[in-house]
Amino acid sequence: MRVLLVDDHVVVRAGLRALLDGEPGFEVVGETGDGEESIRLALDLRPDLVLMDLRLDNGAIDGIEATRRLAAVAPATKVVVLTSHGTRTDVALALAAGARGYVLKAGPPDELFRALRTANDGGTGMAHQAVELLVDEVTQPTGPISDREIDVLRLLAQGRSNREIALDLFLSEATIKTHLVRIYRKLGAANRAAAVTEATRRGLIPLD
Amino acid sequence: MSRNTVSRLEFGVHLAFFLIVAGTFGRLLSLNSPLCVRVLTLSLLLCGGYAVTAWAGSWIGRGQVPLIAATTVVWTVLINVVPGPLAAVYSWLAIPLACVLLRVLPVRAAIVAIGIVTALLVSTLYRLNGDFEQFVLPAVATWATVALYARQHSDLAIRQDLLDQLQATRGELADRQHEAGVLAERARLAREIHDTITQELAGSRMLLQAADRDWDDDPAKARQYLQAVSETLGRNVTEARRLIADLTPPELDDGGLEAALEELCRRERQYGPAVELITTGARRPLSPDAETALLRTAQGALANVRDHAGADRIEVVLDWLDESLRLKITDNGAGVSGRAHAPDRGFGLPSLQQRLRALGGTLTVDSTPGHGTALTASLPAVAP
Repeated sequence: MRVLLVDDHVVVRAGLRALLDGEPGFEVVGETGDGEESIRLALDLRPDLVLMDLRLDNGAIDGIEATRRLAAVAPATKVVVLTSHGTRTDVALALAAGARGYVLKAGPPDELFRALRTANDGGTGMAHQAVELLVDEVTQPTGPISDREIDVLRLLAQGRSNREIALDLFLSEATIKTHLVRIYRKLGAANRAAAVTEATRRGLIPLD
Repeated sequence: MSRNTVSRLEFGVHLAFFLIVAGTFGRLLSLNSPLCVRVLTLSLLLCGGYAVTAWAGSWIGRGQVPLIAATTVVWTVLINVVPGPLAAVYSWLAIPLACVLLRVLPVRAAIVAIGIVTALLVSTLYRLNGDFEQFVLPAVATWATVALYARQHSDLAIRQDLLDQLQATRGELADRQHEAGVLAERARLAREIHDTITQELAGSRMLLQAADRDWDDDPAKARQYLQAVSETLGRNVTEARRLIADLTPPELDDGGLEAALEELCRRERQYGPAVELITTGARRPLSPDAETALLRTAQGALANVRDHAGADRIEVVLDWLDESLRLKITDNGAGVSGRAHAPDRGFGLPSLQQRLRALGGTLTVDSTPGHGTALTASLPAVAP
């Protein structure tokens, strides 16, 4: 199985390369830290598998977008997404974009190998934590963050109080509280600061 | 209308009071009247009572009510003992007395008291000469002055109320900005830790997993992986130290803006580049808000240079100009276009710009790809 590594951290690529190099059946044929470059390389090298990081900070597109484009231009190449910590949304987005697997960085190496083999054989290779996240999503659906919730989050990030947010959005304070409870649940946050941090991390609101 | 207008009006009224008393007494003296001693005593009592109520009223609290009542009685006696023409002059003291009564007593009581004073005034003048014009004028003048005085006081109260509200809003705004800053800073740190330390640790763990697996079959390779991990952990330690330094920025309390900037530059030199701090012009005291904004600007500029520019020379210039204070951070790095897609670390230009704009300042960025970047923050020179 010929594998292309896509991650913007050199050390992560080195670790993946070290793991795959010593594992029978795998060959790392190329690596890059840039999403657009990964598409060029995939077309060029025709790997069987692409291990794709979700966040590619130095490039114009992120891992989800690169996955989507790869699925369109190189359908024979299977993408397995790799992140350092997953959320339900991440898993759902990755699979929707066409990923054939989802593993966590620095998990048990066998899980990584198994996911890659499964994807290569035409299945969906999921790390067990990613499966759990998917199960949670099915059994306790949270739904996506709504536009209105994003409005609330944006004001929250500006340090506004509930009353000020209510005034700004022409809503009652009680409604804002309800929104906050939903936002906390959807983002897995316990308080305002955690909600803002998580929303920023997911790119739901700009950092500034 | 300003507070000064009111105090000037009050001062004018008080001045008129003492001029009338002193002037009338002087006139009495020149007439060599036998009443002199008695009038002097009464005048002194009147002046004393009035002065204490006017200037130390808030000090003696409720005690000023009997005092002003006694003062009013003294005035009544006075206008009844002095010769006619002088009594007419003394009667004008009704105006300052009315103003003080209005200030000291509750509104209803004040109106009744001023009514009594006006009645005393009118009856005295009427007794002296039954001429209508002679007493209607002082009465009207008294009430007109009282009305004006009351109006100005209520305007002042409204103005003070507005000022208090403004002050409270400002404080709240500052709190909110602070809170927003804290949240943005937390988000930035979470992201930083995720982007650097977490990734390098994940990579290291994978290298160690590979080394563990290859330990017996390929010891040379395993050893190579261990060395890679050792290097990575070395970088990790540096990165962790830098994050800790970011969490504890140089304090302004320890010696003002220049000392904090000096400390900031000293720390930055540890990451490699030659950093120079240049100060020109005569330094002036600066508001804490302005100091913080400029320090954060320098911090943000240096973080951006460190992350994206790859510069080896940085110049931090603080210019104390006549009209403004200018902070300029210049580097010889990659320039702004080189970081078009770079992630924002929360020290971003928009938040700095917002901060400076709130203080009436500006933030500009000049950059040529490949020829470095100059970031200039400017604040107007206003007293803190």
